[in-house]
Amino acid sequence: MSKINKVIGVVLLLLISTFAFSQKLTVQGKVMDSDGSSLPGVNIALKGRTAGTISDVDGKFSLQANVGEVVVFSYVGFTTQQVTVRNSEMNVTLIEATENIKEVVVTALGIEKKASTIGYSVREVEGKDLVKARDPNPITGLTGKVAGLSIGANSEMLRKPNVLLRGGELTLYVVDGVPVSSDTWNISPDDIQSYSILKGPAAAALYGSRAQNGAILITTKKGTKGKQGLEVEVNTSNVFDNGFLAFPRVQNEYGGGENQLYAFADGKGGGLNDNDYDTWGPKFRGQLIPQFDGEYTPNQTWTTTYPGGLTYTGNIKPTPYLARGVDNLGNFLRTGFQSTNNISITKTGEDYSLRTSLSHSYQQSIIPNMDLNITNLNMIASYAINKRLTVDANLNFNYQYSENFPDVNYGPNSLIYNVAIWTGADWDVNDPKIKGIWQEGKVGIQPIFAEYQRYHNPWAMVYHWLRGHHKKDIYGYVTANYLINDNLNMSLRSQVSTYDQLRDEKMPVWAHPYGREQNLGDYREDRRSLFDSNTDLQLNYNYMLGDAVQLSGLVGGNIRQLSYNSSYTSTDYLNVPGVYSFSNSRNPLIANSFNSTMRVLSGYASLDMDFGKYATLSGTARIDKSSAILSDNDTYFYPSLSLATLVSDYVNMPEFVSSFKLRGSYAMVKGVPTSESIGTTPGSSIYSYPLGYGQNYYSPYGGPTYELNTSYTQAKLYNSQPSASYTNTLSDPNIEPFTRVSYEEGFDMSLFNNKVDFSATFFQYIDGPKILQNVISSATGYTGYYINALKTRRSGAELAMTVTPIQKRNFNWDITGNWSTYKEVYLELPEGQDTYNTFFKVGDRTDVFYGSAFYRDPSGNIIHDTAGKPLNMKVAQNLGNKNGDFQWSLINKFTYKNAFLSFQFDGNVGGVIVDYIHNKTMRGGRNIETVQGAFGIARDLDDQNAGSTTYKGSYVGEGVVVSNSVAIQYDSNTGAITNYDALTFAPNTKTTQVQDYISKYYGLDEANLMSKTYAKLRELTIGYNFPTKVVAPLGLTKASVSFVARNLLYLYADERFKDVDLDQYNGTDGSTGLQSPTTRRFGVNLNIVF
Amino acid sequence: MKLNKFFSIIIAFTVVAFSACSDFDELKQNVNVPNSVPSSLLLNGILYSMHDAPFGMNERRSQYFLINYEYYGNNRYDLGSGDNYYTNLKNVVKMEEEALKLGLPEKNVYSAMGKFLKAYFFSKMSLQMGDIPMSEALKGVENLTPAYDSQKDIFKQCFTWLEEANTELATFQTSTVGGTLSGDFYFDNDLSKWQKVVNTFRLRLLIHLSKRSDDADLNIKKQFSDIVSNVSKYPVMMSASDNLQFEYVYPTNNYPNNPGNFGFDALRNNCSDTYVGLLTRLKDPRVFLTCEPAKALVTTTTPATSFDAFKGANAGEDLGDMYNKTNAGQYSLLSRYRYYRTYTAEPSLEISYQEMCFNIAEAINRGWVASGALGNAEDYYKAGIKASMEYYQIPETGNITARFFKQSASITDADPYDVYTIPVDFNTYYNQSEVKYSGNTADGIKQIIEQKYLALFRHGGLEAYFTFRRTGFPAFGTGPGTGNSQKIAMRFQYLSSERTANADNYKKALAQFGNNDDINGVMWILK
Repeated sequence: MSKINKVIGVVLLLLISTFAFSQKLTVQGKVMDSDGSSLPGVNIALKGRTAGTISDVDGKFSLQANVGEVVVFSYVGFTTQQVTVRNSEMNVTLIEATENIKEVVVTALGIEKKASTIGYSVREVEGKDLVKARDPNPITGLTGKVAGLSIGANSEMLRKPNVLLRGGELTLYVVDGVPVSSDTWNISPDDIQSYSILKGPAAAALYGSRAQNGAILITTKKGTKGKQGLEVEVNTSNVFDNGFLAFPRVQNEYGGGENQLYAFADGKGGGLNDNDYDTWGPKFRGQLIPQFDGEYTPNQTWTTTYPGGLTYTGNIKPTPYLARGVDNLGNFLRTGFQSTNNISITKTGEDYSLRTSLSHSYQQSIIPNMDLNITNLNMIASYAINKRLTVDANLNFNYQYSENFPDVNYGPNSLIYNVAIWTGADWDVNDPKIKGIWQEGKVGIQPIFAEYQRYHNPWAMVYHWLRGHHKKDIYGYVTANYLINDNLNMSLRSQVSTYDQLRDEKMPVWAHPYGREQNLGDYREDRRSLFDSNTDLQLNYNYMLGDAVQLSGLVGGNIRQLSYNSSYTSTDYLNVPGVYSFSNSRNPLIANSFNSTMRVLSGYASLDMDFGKYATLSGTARIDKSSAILSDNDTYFYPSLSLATLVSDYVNMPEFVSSFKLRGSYAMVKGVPTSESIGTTPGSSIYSYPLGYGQNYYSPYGGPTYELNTSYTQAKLYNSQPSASYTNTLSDPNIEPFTRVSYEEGFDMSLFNNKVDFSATFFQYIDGPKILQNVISSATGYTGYYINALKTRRSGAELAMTVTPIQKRNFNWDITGNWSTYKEVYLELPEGQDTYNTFFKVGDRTDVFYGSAFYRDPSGNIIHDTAGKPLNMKVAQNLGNKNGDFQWSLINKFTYKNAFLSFQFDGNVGGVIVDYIHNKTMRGGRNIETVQGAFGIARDLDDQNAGSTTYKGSYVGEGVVVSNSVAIQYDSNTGAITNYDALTFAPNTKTTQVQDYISKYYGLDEANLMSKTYAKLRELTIGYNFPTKVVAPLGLTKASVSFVARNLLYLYADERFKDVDLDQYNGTDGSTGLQSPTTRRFGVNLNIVF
Repeated sequence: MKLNKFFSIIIAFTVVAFSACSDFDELKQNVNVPNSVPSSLLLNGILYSMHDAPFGMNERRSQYFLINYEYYGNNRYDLGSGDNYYTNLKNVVKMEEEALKLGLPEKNVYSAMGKFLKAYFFSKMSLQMGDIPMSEALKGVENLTPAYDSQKDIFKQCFTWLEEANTELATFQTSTVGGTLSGDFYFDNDLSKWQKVVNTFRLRLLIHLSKRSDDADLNIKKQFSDIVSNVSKYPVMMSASDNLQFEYVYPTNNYPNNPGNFGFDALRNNCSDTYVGLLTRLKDPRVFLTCEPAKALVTTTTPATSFDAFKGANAGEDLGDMYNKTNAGQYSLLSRYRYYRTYTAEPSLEISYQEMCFNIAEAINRGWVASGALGNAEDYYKAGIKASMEYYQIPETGNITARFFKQSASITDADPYDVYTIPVDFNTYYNQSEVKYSGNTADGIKQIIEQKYLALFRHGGLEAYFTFRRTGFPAFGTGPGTGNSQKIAMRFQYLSSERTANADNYKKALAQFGNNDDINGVMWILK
């Protein structure tokens, strides 16, 4: 670091020593719209500087500028325009924003470019659009807005969305030109001016390998607006979550137990299936059964006789067995609530601008006693020290804190697991005894519940098993920009992104999640801190080559230094209940630490050649030297090239074509083994997790994975004695960085006087040779070998269209549609292999889902064994593709005078996934299908024979059996039956009990496979911008109010699988997980500008 | 002019940046983990990984103990891949390397232990799968596609390793030239104990080759008799105190069944008829200590201490039926008192004196050797039974205390057990016609194997399954519950990596089994 500081010092000194004078003008003019009406409040800024002004009531302005400088005019609803200063007069006409193709967009490193000159796909989204249709997460709001960008919103509070761009996980967020370590929660939506989505490597080439999946550039609001240079803006949003979209589908006819038998003794196995049970207990018929809240008398016994003759004798007085807790989960959950309030103050002067913004967001979870606070402070300042030197600085402080946040991951730690899957309606969540939590005389030690071995009282869980989250994020930068002459300008920027985080868990003595079954309690702390800095020196240039060709671009250098330190410490059970401190550990503490550092040195350059109206050719080049790869091949170079041509400028087009642009690009990205996220303090790898339950929380990282480093791992396997083992993966000592090559082609077209805009993009990514952990023969002593191998090709298309069917002075209607698709196939397998990952051949899609399937006869009937149970295939089978075929969205926007209305539908078509909730609720007996149809009839009969040793069940599985007692033979490679000819089949007639049949049948992936086709009415916004004449007397500049509804409808065809909301499974997951029920969201947003 | 200055700044910046990397290579290292460790740490890990814990698939394969709850598993013989011990073997290789780094000579205590461990792991994998890579294995990237060795060659090499290990371990007991062992939690680094383990283990491997006892190269019979008749050169286990056993320690290494998981596991698993049926047929008192009487079978005329109150399920029974019957109290469960009361129920015997007694008895019965230090086959057979009884603390004559779980008791109750005192007498037991050794006949083999089966309850991993495969004793149950078209599978499939990463050699190896990775294929030692 000290070396870097020295460099910065030297450069700053040199900068100061070269200040020089230049000719300054006072430019005056007027801004008008296409009708000739004056436009007040237009932002007027000098390009590359933050200093600027705004137009007055008459649209007039004046500012100080140099000849050759570029003045940027921007105004909401109008296309931003750039005008070069030639003399002191400047009259400008702004065009309404529907003329997309003329727009200026923000590209890599924050460089604004005219859209018509860009040879790759970039999409801009205005921040204000998302603020009105408020989602607490600044990124989730982008859902459906950009073709090719898929946002898998997570239904759990504080969990980050799964952001995929063209199928790859997007991890690079760039705020005002600087990369920020982000879990997406540390950016305040209120501070965002606009988003710019760089879709591919060509667009993002200047950011290097971090941007191999594209990037989201965020431009924050800067000081410029407002009369007299002072503006105060207040934005407040209050949103409620109410009404469920996807909810576990449960039956309320049978209670907990097994084989329709249940009797409570101690809830720990003392009774009859009174512990760790399924929901396969007796039917609620009001019969007398010993239950958890029955009266216990030590010396008195009662005998319960079950329908099949079995008797049970115990000390608890039997009580009527009834469905006391219908809709326990619904009754337990509450209305969620989010309130976000922001105030920003902006002051602009002739040579400075300042903006300070404070936001607070409070989110109350739908789960009781769980909430999240996010406080965000943002300060941005820009001041011109003199005519040539401008300094900009930004600091963002974000504090997320929650004393208790939800954990839904499958297991006894999960509310869904406890309430909706594994226990029945035989207990009532609102029963005062359950709600009162504690057993008499055992406050803090033992809650009351229906079971004590595996499951937990949900109230005890949310009020006394607490998980805390405290994360402080700081990012900021200081930039010095020096205008050397009309053609050159240099900037030096130093930027940091850092966070400190503490997550803790207070596990009470009565809790018994997976792996911690001794009921002794625990306390854990997960601490992480990251420091990531980038220092850039850039020289921007702009020359005319003769009359026709304009050259512009930059050369720069970057030093990135990253360090990460984390620790994970846990008690090994507690001595004294309720004292959550490491000194209270019963056994020696479990502790782990991890340190990593990384340095990346980069040089980069870009060149845009503008051939007047004909074309713009752009090229970039970047060279990196990274410490994150062990081999000597640590320095790597990669270029990009793109071409854009506005054909309509030089070819005669039919009348209805307003503009037509063609673009194409090529880019290469290389990279080394780093990971954008890191889990709990690494044990064996940065993805390992120390516990048997709960979520491995991933926080932003960006550092080395060390996966290529071979070393020993230490563990205490026996009686706390030290032991070690050597790595199971080796790596090629001469391994090279991985490569991605991208090709992109597309066109943008405006028709009928810009009433129709259409754009199409086609891309191909050739990935590889990758850095592949290839599976090698276990007999080598190792299981994996890192080599440069494997090539895949991802190809896809994105279409976007905006139509304006009605455009009147008072009424406007826009329809925007987005459509995208992609697929990835294997192009080249590792040398010497004709299959990869057991099943895959060259040309196969990489997202084929191989899962367990039923054996079937040649006519497709499921083959059953002699006991009447379905037979599962010995080898996994192709059950479909994990990715959808395409994604779509349709947005309608209406404005009438000052009122506006918009709504958005979006969805996915195609693809499959295993419904895990379905699997568990079926096998556990809680799913409503277990009491419907043939299952329902047989289940009732099973109950009427409960406890009989002669009863053989009533359910007959649909399918066939082998009727000639020939053994089935199968191919060990494919699992296929090889002796069909020798087998004869007859219908299955063997009866089985429902529980046993379902447990077998629904244990298979094929039985729980759901289509990923769904649609959502994602958002609906109705709003009103108060006219100036209404708000002016109140001392306000602007005021608007909007009513927002999000996730109004979840449209899914197959009722059986409507227990899961597919939103968060937009990637290639093979299976869903547990999920809090997803909700509809309603709210009000109020925006006031003073 | 100014321009030049700025370019020179950029150049200077770049030069400084790219040369600021004198410590660049240091940054590449993972500072959180070691690149070298003492051999003792590796030994500790390898010894840990060699133990076979009870409760799980091995016990189902051996039909001691069955699962009745489809949700958690089944008793089917749809065998998948065998165990991958190559990664442990890799650690053996690293242990030997690290020992040399410490300055030990080429032959040292770790290399001697290494030879035993190689024989242990390679033979275990071969017993599961058949021919496997050995001579070309463990070479890392130097040989990514190791060829398969024949099962015969594997055993031949294992015997060589064991011979050398015996010699070297003998040497290092009297000389410090080979260094001192550290990291051994079984015998606290006592080489003399390990020497006994090596030879006792060799007897086990030799007996596995009973169908190949006439193979001229392997010379099974001679090897066996050399060991049995030369105790000074080949010391073997003399008593239970020589057992290689894994002791459970609370809280770090809990017995797989314990008070913490009683509620999950106690009812979802039940005893097998293969085990309980044999015990009750032989009126064996061990049943009172390892099992619970079946609740529904206990009546006024059949007390809990009657052998008739104990009943196991046929392994072939459909899971749904077994589950129902268990729920209805028709089957015996694992003894709560012995296995669920504490976190350290009993040590797991990996290689034991009692097992060795039965192996020697079998060898004498087969005529490989006339007698041993203890005497004839019956002497060894009796010694084996007695050692097993002793393990359960059953006196030769006297009483045992059986404790059975009360109906509707809780494991957390102060006293959830009914207590029974049951008289036992070894001679009465032994003199039953079914127990008393019937001589060096085929029936004698059956008796030896049955008693070995009882002695291996919860011990020795797949030993009982391997022995069944070889001898057919005791008869295993089959039915829809065991799957595989009512057959007991004969082998495990190859490790899954072989199919894609070592395809040519894998295909060649499948020739043994009709070009299919067939679980019903018969490997060389079983032919």
